[in-house]
This record gives sequence, structure tokens and C-alpha cells, in this order.
Amino acid sequence: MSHLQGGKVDVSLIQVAARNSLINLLEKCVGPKAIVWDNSLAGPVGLVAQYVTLKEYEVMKMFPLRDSPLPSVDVQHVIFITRPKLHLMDLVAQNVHNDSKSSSDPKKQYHLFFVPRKSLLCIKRLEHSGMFGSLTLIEEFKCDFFPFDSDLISMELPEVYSDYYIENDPTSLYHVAQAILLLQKFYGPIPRVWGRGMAAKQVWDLLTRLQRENLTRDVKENQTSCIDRLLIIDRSVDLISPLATQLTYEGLIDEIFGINNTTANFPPEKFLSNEERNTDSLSEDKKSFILNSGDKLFSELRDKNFNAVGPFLSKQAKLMNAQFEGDHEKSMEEMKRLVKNLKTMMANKSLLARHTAIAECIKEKTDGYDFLDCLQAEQEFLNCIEVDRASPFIEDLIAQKRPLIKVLRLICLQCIASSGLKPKVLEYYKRELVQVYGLRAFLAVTNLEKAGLLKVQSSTRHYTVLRKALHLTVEDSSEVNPTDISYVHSIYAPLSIRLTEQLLKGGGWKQLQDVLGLLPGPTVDESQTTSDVLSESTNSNVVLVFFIGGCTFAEISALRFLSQQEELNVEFVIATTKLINGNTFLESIINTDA
Amino acid sequence: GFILESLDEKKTHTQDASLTSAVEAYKKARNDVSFSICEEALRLLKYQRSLKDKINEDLVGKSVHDTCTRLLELKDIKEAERMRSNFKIPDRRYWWLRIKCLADAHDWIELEKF
Repeated sequence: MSHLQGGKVDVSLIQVAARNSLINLLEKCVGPKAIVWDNSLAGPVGLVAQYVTLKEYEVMKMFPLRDSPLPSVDVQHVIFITRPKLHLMDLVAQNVHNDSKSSSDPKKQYHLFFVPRKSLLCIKRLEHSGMFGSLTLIEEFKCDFFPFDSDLISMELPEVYSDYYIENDPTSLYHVAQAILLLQKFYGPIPRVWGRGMAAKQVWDLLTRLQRENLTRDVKENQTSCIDRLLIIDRSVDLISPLATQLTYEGLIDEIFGINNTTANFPPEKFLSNEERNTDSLSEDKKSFILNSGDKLFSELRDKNFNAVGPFLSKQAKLMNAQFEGDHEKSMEEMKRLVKNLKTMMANKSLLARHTAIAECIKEKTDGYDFLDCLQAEQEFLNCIEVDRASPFIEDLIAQKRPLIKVLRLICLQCIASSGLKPKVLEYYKRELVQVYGLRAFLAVTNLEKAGLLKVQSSTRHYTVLRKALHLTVEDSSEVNPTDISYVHSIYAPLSIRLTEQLLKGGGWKQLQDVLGLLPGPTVDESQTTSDVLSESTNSNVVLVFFIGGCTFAEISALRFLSQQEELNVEFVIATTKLINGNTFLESIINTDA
Repeated sequence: GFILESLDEKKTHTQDASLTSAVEAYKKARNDVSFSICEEALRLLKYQRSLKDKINEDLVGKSVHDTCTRLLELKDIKEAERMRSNFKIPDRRYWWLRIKCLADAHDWIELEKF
């Protein structure tokens, strides 16, 4: 998978380590086996080890973990691979119980691999269910990160924000700290660490403690570091950016069709050639594509504002036509070269057709009144227009009973832009929501309040000040030839990335004193230069940005844009607990039963 | 008031005992908005039960909005108007609803009268 290499930090190391860890575990179970997957893992693990690889290790069948009995298969080992979650333990116990009763083979063994770590609580739960003894091996499949691209890794833990901020459960922060530790094992200790927010601080404290515990065991102390700086961004510091609609190519694909584990599904009818359309054959009901930098055209398109995508595609098409037709009088030499390149040219052509079709699918949505009206409302909020009273646009959305998540997303955005809603407005929204959507809307709102996304106005206008001080809205930036990161949301520059930009320009938090007071949580500002790690690596300038609580594709695009600016001279590696957009982020908060 | 809200989800499915306790809890916590929202939910349940005999349809568990929509679909405008005043449905939303229901029913003649 060559798309993972290329940066100064070789992400494929993570992939290889994870794959080997899985293979080692599989080799412990000799003979044919079946794997039962926790649904949330089956997709991401595909980024580490594909089914073909697993087959080589005698994995005959794979099933999702469900409450229905397992299909009967003739294998020696049944391996459950799950996250350490209590409700999953009940499913495992139930499955083992049913299967061992119905199975005739007394030698059949059951195993359980936790990803990424065992949990005492889960083991206790298994003991209570009486099935603990039936499990032969209980192991850890230590896979903290799933590699998404040469500059992007994700832990794929969607509940980090809600676990910590709603349920006050710091378990996932421990996973994050372990994960950073792992990164330092691969890429050397990181000399400079910045961070902001409660969760960032706690991760850092955990990390220093873990490091002290591990110090004696770690031999490779004087390893040179590939990563020079670590910036930990706690999602609570910037709740605005996920709520704003992403307007980059990749961001829009995620908003409209959803990208999971670098794969997105599209309606198939757009992707058929004319003959295929006529044959009316049994086509699949979804067309899925893998979207990563392995696709050269996509890697050029993904970070562009959508308005720049059309012109770019048509330019490519023209270039390609010229290549195919060219001059008719060609020398033998040229003809030879053409034939040699024919295969790549054909591949490029089909990629171009694919992305043109995807862009058409997106355009259908973004040209609709629905989308444009919503975007306009959003941009008015971001510019602090009419944020202090109930928005007639939102009222109408509620009256028409549009999707709850869409309405809540706008209300949250208004709330943040007005630095908290007026008590009367908040009460009014609450009543309206409950009358239309029922009590479940009330529970949703309660969770959003706990998560800090909805609140009553306080005396200071944080957002208004931040907007001015950090230039969060830029009116006249170009979408086609951007000069500022605000192109990713057309007018709005993600706060998280603006902070990153200022931090790197100023060389630390000191330059940001005047805005720091407006951001929640404590600051982390540490140097962990141990005596033997010297500043020999100063010429390389790699910054690891770690988002606790998720980040959006638009934020990633903005970081990539910054790395192309010469004055900064940095390269980013992005780590996140999950890739999110406004909807998936709010859903993870609404659906927690606290 | 925080403790009991997990309860009211179950209550909407079955009975209103837990909703009543949520109302009590919010009252004690002096959370006026939540208090009145839960109280209204309780009122709605009772009202929906009384409707059950009248229109021969079970609307329990539906929101105010959906209940009112159903009444309009059944052309029970009197009952819908009563809901509108009992549950203080704002004009803007009520008329949206009227228009939408008429349009869905292709009742263009009624719609003309607006």
C-alpha cells in the first residue's frame, strides 16, 4: 500500500506493526478458523489486513457479532474480535453458549481478542455470565491506529468526546495517551508539546506518568525523532468547526454520502456507461469507491473548494483529449511512447470519469434550495448576524419537521456564534422541538447542554472577540485560488486550524495571550528534551496534530493548505480519535444514554 | 433534575408514572423549563388516551405536532383547533401544518381560501 508512504513520517510502519500483531495472534490458533467481528471494527481492520491476507492464515469465514446464533461452520477455532464494551461481552457469552451447545465437535475452541486493550470490567462481566471458562485465549490485538493516508491516522473511537464530557469517563483518554506513546516508540520522542483543553491536559498528564513507568523498559532512548512538535487539540476548544458545512470536495462527499474507512458509497446509476445502462443487468444497489491518495486525481481534488473542482476536471479532460488525439502525424518514437503509456492513460481516463460523476452527484445537492438556504443561514450566524433572536429559518425547518439532526446542528451553531442563547430563545427552541419531535428531542437537547454545545448566554461574547482577533471570517477570499484557509468553509476559517497557524507562526502560546483567555480548559506547553535528544533535527519540521474528539475533512484540508505555504515550512501528520462531520458528531452526543 | 430524565424515555413507551416523577424532580431542582416540558408531555399522554375512544385510533407516543397532523388528516379541524389552544401551538407553525395537510390531501379548494 504505497499511498501510506511518502511523507517524512512513514505511516506504513503502523500498518505493518498492526498487521503483524494480528497475524501473531492468529498463528496461536492452529487450524481452520472463523472470525466474529464487532461491527465497529470490521471496516477499519480492513485498512490493516485485508481478507486475502487473513485467508492465508486459514480464516475460512467471517461473521458480524450479533445476538442471533452463529451459522454452523466446520472450524476448529472461533475467534471473537471486539472492542472492550460490556454489551458486547454479553453477545460473546451468548454466542459461545449457543454454539458450544449445538456443536458436535468437542475440540472446538473459542477465543476473544480485545482491541486495543483488555478491560477488567469486561472480563468480570464474562465471569459473571459463566462463559469465561469456555474461552481458551483472551488476548489483546494492539491496534491503536488505523492508517488512512500518508498523513492521516485515526483511532476510530467515535465516543471519545461524549464519554469524557457527558459521562465523565476518561477511559478513552487513557487509550489516547497509550496511542501517543506508541507513536513515540515508532518515530522517536517528540521534543515540543503544545495542547489546549481539559482532555488535552489529562492526556498529557497520563502520558507523562506512563512514560515514567516505561522509562526503564524502553531501551531506544536516544533515537532521533521524526516528529518535532506535537499539538493536542481538544475538540471542546473548537466546537464551531464541526458544525459548519464543509465545502471541500472530500468534505462534501462526507457530508452528503458519508466516508467510512476511506470508502464512500454512491448511487450507482451515475456510474454506468451507456451499454451497462441498457443491459439493465443485476447491478449492485450501491457503488463504492476507495478514496485515498493512491488515487492521484483524487489527491489533487480532495482539498479543493467544490467550486474549483468543476474547472479543474474540465481542464483535465481537455488535457487528456489532447493526449489521446494529439498530432496525427507522429514519429515512430512518439507512437511507441504513446502505446507504452496507453495503460496509464486509460486508467486516468476512467478515474476522470469517476470523479466527474461524483462531482455531478454532489452538484445535484449543492444546487438545491435546501442546501443553499441552509448554508446562507449558517454563514449569517458565523458573521454574527441576527444571532440573538429565534431564527425564522430554523422555525420553518421545525414547522416542516425536517430531520432533527439538521435543525439541532443549526441551533448549536447559532448558540456558539451568539456565545450562548438568550434564555428566552433557548426555552422557545426547546418547546418547539419537543412539540414537533416529541420527548426524544428533549433528551437530545439535554445531552447537547451537557456537552457544552447548547447553553445560556454569558456576559462575555467569546465568539465575537475570537472572530475579530483570529480573523475567523474572511469575506473576499477566492475559492478557486485560495490564499487563506477560510476557503474550506467559504468565508469561515476553522478556529482549530487558525490557532495552529498562529501557534506555529508565533512559535508558542505566548503570542496568543490575548485570545487564550477565551478558550476553555488549561494549556499544555512542555519541552521533553532529554539530554541525549539534541536539536539535530531542527531542519526538518514535522508537526503532529492530534485531535481528541474527532476532526473533519475540511480541517485536514486546511492543514494541508498550510503545509504548502512556504513561510510556515512545516509538514503535518494528523491523528484523530475519529473522522467526524457535524451530523456524526452530534449523533454521537445525542445517542449516549447518560 | 438530572437523575430521572433517563426514566422518561421508558415512560413514553409504557406508563406515565416515571414521567410524573421526572416532573417532581424538575420541580425540586427548580428547573422551570424542563418541569413544564415534562408536564406538557404528561398532559399530552392523557389527552391522547381520551382521543383514542373518540377517533378510534391510538396516537399515544406521538408528538404534539404529529398528533395535530393526524387530526388534520382526519379532517377533524375542531379537535385540531382545540389542541392548538391547549398546547399553545404558535400560529406560524400551525398554519404551516394546515397548508401542508391540505396540499398533501390535494384539497386545492380549501387551500384557495387562504
